[in-house]
Amino acid sequence: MTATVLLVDDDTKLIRLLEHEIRDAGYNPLAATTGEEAIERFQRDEPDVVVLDLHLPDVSGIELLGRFRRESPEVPVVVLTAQGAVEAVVECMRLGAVDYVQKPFDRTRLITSVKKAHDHGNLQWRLSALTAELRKGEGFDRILGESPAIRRCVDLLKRAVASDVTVLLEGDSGTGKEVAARALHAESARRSGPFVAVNCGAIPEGLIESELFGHEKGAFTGATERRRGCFEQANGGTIFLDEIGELRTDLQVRLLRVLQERAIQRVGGTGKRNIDVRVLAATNRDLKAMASVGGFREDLYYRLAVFPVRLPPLRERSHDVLLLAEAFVQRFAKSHGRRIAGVTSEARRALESYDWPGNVRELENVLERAVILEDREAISLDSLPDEVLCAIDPGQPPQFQVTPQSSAGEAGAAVASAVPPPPAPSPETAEDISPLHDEECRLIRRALELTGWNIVEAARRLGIGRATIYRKIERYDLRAARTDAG
Amino acid sequence: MRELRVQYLTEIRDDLLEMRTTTTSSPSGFDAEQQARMRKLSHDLRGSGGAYGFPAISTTAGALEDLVVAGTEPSALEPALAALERAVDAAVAGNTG
Repeated sequence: MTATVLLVDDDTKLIRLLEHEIRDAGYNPLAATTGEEAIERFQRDEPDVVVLDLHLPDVSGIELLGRFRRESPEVPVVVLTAQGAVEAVVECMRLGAVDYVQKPFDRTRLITSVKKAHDHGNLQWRLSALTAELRKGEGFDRILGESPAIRRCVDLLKRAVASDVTVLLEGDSGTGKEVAARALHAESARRSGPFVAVNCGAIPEGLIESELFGHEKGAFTGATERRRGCFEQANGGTIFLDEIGELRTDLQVRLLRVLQERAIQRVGGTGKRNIDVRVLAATNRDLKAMASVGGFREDLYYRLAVFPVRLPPLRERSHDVLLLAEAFVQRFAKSHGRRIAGVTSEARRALESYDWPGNVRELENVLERAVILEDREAISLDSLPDEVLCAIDPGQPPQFQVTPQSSAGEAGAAVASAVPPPPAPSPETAEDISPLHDEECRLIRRALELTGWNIVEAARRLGIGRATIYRKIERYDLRAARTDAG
Repeated sequence: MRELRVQYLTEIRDDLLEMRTTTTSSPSGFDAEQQARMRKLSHDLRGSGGAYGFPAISTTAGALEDLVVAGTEPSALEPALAALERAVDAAVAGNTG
């Protein structure tokens, strides 16, 4: 598609020449002789490049440049200036013009400038598109869930977006505290700035101070170079202090001072450096309780917990398990190149029944493993771990069948039905041998029928585990067969 | 391009005539509107002459614009205006030759 160049100049004689040169160079020229007309064409025709004279009858060219830059910063503007107008050129470049051409213009110079501007504009469009693509799913839409517990949590986070308030994310391990922190950063005005995550519990004690606050060369043995700490690295953006409850007491003091003064001092340094950082912290511990017994500085706790947000454990949002499971299956199927479209109803039951002590992270790990292991087109019980399978309801309680006793006088006490299954006929010839899985299927079906579909009992009598019998029920589609039999 | 130049040279003749008339009719000084108009006409010629391939038009128009901006009395603009007219004449002659 031919690129469009909007030419803005009040000299109609020059416009005529510009149109000719631009068309000759393979572009599609549009013309405007006033600021008002230029704005109208800019908004209506969405040109790819603008060539703008600074002297217009109704508005200053510099003012118009500023407006174009605000409305569509990806559209490059080349300004036409009078010779010697240095200040105007400087101002235009400061406002974001990509180039300037002095009048009377040289044709080659003009076309080179327009081409450069067009290439620049294309790069900007591609960069914006890529950035938007990367940022998709970085915000709150990354926090999946429809349960009231998680929606309340997201509502709170949304309220914290508009300001730089310090947020303390509280919740059990695996509930998504880092996901929430990243979402908060991505939705905030600091999204273009850095996001620096520090796990205060994972960094060795001897290194945490330098990690957070940086160090000067020679500050300690091994400090061969100056190093900027995480607070400096996060300048202009957000720092996420995970497992803040693990921070030792002397560092809690330093952190408190940083939060109060908004300045850091490197290890071995003498001067303070101002920082512009938003602080998010997270913990799976009860910091308030720790503070009450001296395990965490109370003043630091109140500095961090200005805006506390609790992320609920998965057991409090069990309605979200299947939603999350489907999302994880989709994601991992794509990343591992597997053609798996969903989760079987049996597997869904197992996922819903399990307590998920490891929360979302555990669910995520289970589904990733399942996607890798699964042979079929949907996640089945076969690819779920035993601990998840064991959570399934054990099925019907044992059914008792009164059988008349052969000898008179014995009370007809209720006894568990123990009619032995008819022995399988032994093959007489080679042709009588049936496949092992057919035999297995027949035996398991018979065991279930005879135990009244008491799965636990059937598994016990067959000498196999519950997880195993559930897998085989699904593999041989025995529940469907039971339904069909009525 | 040749046709564009012919059209340009034809049109700027009218601009020259307007500047000549304005200068002649206001020997003691321009009013604000005349000043602005003289400035625009000379400025535009400064910016367009060289682009059309007539650098002398740009140069002489530029000299005239500078004098107008400096507030030079109309009667003192005569040499600069005459130089511009000669540059246009030369351009016409060169374009038709």
